[in-house]
Amino acid sequence: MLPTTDRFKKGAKETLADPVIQMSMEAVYTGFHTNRQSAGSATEDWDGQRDRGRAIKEHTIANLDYYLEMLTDKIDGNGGNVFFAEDSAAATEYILNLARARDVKTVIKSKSMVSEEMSLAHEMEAVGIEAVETDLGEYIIQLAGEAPYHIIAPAIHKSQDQVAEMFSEMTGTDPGQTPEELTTTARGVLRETFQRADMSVTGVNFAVAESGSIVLVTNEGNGRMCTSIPRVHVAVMGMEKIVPSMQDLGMMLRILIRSATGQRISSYVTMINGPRRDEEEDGPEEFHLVIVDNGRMKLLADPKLREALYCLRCGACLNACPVYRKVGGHSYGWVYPGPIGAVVSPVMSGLQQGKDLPFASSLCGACREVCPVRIDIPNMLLHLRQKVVEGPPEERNIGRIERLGWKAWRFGNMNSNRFHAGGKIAHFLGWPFARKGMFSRLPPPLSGWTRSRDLPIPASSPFRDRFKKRQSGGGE
Amino acid sequence: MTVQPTKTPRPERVQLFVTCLVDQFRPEVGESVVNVLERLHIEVDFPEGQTCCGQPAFNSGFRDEASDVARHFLDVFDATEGPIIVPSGSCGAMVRNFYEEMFEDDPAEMERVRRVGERIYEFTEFLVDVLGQDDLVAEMGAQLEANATYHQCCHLERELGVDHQPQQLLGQVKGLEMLPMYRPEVCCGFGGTFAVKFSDVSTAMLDEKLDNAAATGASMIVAGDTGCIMHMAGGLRRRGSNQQVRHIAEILDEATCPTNHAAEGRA
Amino acid sequence: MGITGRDVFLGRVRDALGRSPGAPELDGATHIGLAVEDVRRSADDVRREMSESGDALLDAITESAAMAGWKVRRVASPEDAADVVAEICSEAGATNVLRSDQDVFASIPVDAALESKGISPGVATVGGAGDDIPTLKQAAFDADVGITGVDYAIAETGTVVLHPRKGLSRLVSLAPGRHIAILNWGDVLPSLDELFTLERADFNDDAIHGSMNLISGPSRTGDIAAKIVEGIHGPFEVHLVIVG
Repeated sequence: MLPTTDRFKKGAKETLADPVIQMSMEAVYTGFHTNRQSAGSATEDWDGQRDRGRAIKEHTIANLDYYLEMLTDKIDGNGGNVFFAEDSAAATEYILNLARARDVKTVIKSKSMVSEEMSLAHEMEAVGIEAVETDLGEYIIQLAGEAPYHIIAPAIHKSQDQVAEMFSEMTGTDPGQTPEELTTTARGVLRETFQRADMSVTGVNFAVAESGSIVLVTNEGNGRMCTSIPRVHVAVMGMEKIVPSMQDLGMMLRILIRSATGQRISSYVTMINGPRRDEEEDGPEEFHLVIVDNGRMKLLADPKLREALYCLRCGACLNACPVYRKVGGHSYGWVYPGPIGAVVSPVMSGLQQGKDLPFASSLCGACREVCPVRIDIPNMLLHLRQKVVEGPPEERNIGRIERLGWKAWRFGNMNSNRFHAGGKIAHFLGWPFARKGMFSRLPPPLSGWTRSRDLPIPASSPFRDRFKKRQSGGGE
Repeated sequence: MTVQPTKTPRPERVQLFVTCLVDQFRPEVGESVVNVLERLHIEVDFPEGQTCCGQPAFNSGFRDEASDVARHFLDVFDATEGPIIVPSGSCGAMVRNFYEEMFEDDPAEMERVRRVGERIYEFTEFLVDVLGQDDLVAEMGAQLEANATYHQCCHLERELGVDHQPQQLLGQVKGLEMLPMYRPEVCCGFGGTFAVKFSDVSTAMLDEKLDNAAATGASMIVAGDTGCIMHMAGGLRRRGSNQQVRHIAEILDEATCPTNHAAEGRA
Repeated sequence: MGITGRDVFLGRVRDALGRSPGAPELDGATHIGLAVEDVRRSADDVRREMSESGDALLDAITESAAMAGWKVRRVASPEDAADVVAEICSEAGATNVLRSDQDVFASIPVDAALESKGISPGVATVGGAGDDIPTLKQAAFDADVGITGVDYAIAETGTVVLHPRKGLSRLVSLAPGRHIAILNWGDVLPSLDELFTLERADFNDDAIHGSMNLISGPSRTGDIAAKIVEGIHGPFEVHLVIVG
């Protein structure tokens, strides 16, 4: 996907003005977030499990080479294939070559954010392969020609009416259908597609190094369809989605699923240990795992950003984020929105272009509070902010006026006399323009404040003056 | 750093880190802190050299500038002794949590950071955890006939972990009816320079917060951070609302004031 | 095709980490350090618990499966189980019923019970002969009901565990609109952790299957206006018949 991360402010403005999206986004808090909170309270030793989950990820990422090597050896031993892709172009090329070599006409896809990085469905369609998204949310946005809006609920911004209208245009059905009726329609259409698919492309929720297994977590059943019917199954994963042992899975599944939707477990958890065995009744004959970098090495190489790779892609941080809820998923301009997106999207797709993303946060910390593996997103945002200001030339992107502004701020704050004087000057200069001690209009950059808020003028008698007066017997 | 406020014998004297926003924009909050502490027979010193903790620059990515101002802060406060009281979650968190981040490559400075950081207590945290008396404020005869709703300031709650002390103190004030707000833990949208740089988003978050506050019917919002207070108050004024926004120190001051006169606080 | 591009990729990973190749210090964070004998012993403990706490675990799964969205029926005998299965099928108006070819059907006379309701069940197996797979696929998609046994159930989450293998197709529990799973006493695990203990032991003994499915209720989606709807791609109705 080509980044449009520099459009954040514009995108945010448009989304804020869209009443349908603002209403739809409420579900993120009232649904997902609230359910996650309940699940957390109802789970024994929830905090301890999250601590242990983080410890597993920390250990794994710190030894990523070791576990990737183990994973590939085991998959090879199971009869599967592994391709290491430096970037999305390399991954796409491998998959398209494979499709050509296997005479593939129809590909079914289940949810994979990495495949969004690759714009894989689009690339396939461009060479004449029918590529169908089978996750209902992905299917809807594929119909709409849009990027996903949320990590686990791609069409969350669409209202029921909007979806009904899209389906109506596609199938001629009544544009006033209910979610149940729309689901039935989609089930019918996609059932037909499943049966004739030659190849599937899925994501990977967890890859288990010790056994060469991959695990898919779904509710819909399309993941199972994708790993049961076509002759060739390709799984695409970010290089970080690995856990050392099968025994680690119990806990990882627990913290992932409860953080994502609040469910104790999703309807389906599927573990694939290579292609089908000879005596099996059905299943893919070929298994391919494509392991993708595409910018993740940058996160890995920076000790302060490394924990972004612990992410389980549960979406809990999005659901807790008051900024995401207002600006929506498209404002972030690349595959990953929300708090984790504000870190990984600019780092992976270009920090200079995406420089607004780390700043588009009030640092409230709600994301860190809900993260199943306790990723300290606010800290990473602060680190990225420093890079945008003080980093190497290819990352810096701060205007000269702002730089001068902070130098002036430093000057004023290094010495209390200057600080005190600064306040007095501001008071006197501002006083003629203020009404009852408040400004309602100020020039830029403070116009950003006064657009919607009044701003008080600095006090004529600041605290330090009042305190001095008290000490000298001025009384309370 | 993790500071574990533990109950200690009541100190005779504390240092006040009043914060730049309180000093310049809401000095009455500072006065209220002093009043309450003095009523508890604790003397308050105000190290005059103090300016700002450096947070605005740090949060904007200007760590060079921020660390200079932070060094000045350490100069001022390292020359003092005893608990340092701050009526702000975000400024307290800056010194306690983020100074370590800024000076991690400077072992000599880290010594000072630790020495000073260990002495920092947010105002309500000090009253509840350090003075350690469950009915501290009630014993002072705290009384205020009013209703209010409490907003959970993000840094206070999530960076310093001060998640029950303000509510506990407010609960001791006789006659004060606390009306719960919907989504009290959701950010008001201030976020420092975020409020200016991303004013559209900040305003949308503010509108949601003020709508939720208005829905309680409370005459005032009580909070623990002055930046948030200015942001909410500024928005209320723009709406033409009568609802006030007060710092918890002001409430405790008014409630325990011997003459108990009506507040002339600003909206 | 094997493995492609590994060395260069791992070289870059090591550079990024500043790490030299080799085994990591195991700090107890993960279970991977556990010795094979310990895994086997844990697996034996789990199997013992399954029978020693069989009653309690059956009570627990009855509750958790219902919470997960299974329609649960508990019966005393294999004959009763067969009758319940037939009842479910006939009440659903099912004419086309498919079952797996598992040992459970030797002791639970499902075929006879269905025949008595006028339903002739098909058996979803091609004996592993690749050429017949299209027919099996067609049969699974055409069927109204799919019936299987249960390899394990998990009390923590209300889950049925199936390992597709000879006699048990991947599709028989997925493609039909209704799935009926028959669970016997003694096959219930307390939690996910015990399941993975057993899987791990199987893996160590080279006995692991090609895949494993954990099924915890009907197929679901919340992708349209956050409204939960059941039966998008998998079964819209799932029944758990518990014998014991």
